[in-house]
Amino acid sequence: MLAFCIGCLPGCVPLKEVNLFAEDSRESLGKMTSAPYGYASYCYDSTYINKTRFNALADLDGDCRDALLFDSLLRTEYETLAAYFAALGQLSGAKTRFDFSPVAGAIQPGTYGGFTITSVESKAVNALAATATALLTTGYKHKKIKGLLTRFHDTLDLAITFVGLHANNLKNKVLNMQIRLKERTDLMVGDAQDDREKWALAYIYKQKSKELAEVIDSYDARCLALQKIRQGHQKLVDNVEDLGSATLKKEMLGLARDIIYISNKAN
Amino acid sequence: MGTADDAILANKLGQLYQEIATTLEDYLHAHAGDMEKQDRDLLGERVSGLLDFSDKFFSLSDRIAFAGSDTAFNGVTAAAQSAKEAIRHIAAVNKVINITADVITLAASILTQNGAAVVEAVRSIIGDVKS
Repeated sequence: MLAFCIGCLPGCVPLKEVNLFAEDSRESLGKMTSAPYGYASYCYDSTYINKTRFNALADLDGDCRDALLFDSLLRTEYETLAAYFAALGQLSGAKTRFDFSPVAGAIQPGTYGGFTITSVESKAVNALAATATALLTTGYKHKKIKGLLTRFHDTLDLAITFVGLHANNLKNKVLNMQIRLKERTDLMVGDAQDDREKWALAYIYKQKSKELAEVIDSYDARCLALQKIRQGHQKLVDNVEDLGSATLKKEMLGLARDIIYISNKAN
Repeated sequence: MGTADDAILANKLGQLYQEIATTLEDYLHAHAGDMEKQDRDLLGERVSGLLDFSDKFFSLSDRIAFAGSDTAFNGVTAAAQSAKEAIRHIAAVNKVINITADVITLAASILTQNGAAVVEAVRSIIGDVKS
């Protein structure tokens, strides 16, 4: 029995994939807190790109205080989500273990008064302590993670929906701005006096359009990463009674890989 | 209809107006050569107007989402707190295990009349209890 338990120890850590998914989600959400282009950047750009008529540069100054507030709120929201996945990662990680090794360490071979502890007995206690550490920790974590996932899934799902909506809204507003820029530049090119003027307009358009396209791509990737995180959490909830299943492990590994790959594109 | 649903609907309307604007823009580009400048400018303004509405729907979606996000994010904070408590529980149990191990060592040291080990074990127990 003991040999069986010791033999299954490496396989007795079914939360490794949960841990990997949680850690990758945390890392991805952590990166999202520091997006270089947010509501404030959009506000500054939109004050001149979306404005059709102006007489002086001062007419293009806008009030971006709300946008700065939105960025700050969003940062807090991403930080909150990252903190949740950090805690889930910690709870499912190898570091959070009941460690019985001090007890095993206290039982050294030797003669104590009238008792003799042989090295075989000492090794057996050590092995039992290692087994207890793995099995009790896994059982405890399973119970706690199960409670966490089932109790808070709906609220987490809603929170991810909200940040996903913000990302999608901002991406689409930038896309609208890009369409406007193209539309306006086209009209100006049509009215241009000569090729030199047309080329200057095209050059300015291409530069800004490329910059905006990069922002749009980055937000598309962010939306996709959030979708994968949401999907992963849903899978954990769906399989909460069998977090060690081979199918779930495979799916969680795949999702964790996707999240990191996509979030590298998002930043 | 819930808050999230309202925000999602506003987002969808924003996307719908964006699609209409791009369809009109495509039409404008395809037929720009056959149009009078006046008509071209008018359609250009219409594209811009549709995009204005689209932006307004996206902004509305943002406002609804921010307004309703308090409950959701308070819940996420509670979830993180719950996980941390479980982690703290493991740390607390580990502390008890450490103390138990020291008590066993102390007993063994007393039995073997190892004075230095007794002192060390007592120090260790005091340290574990204080930590």
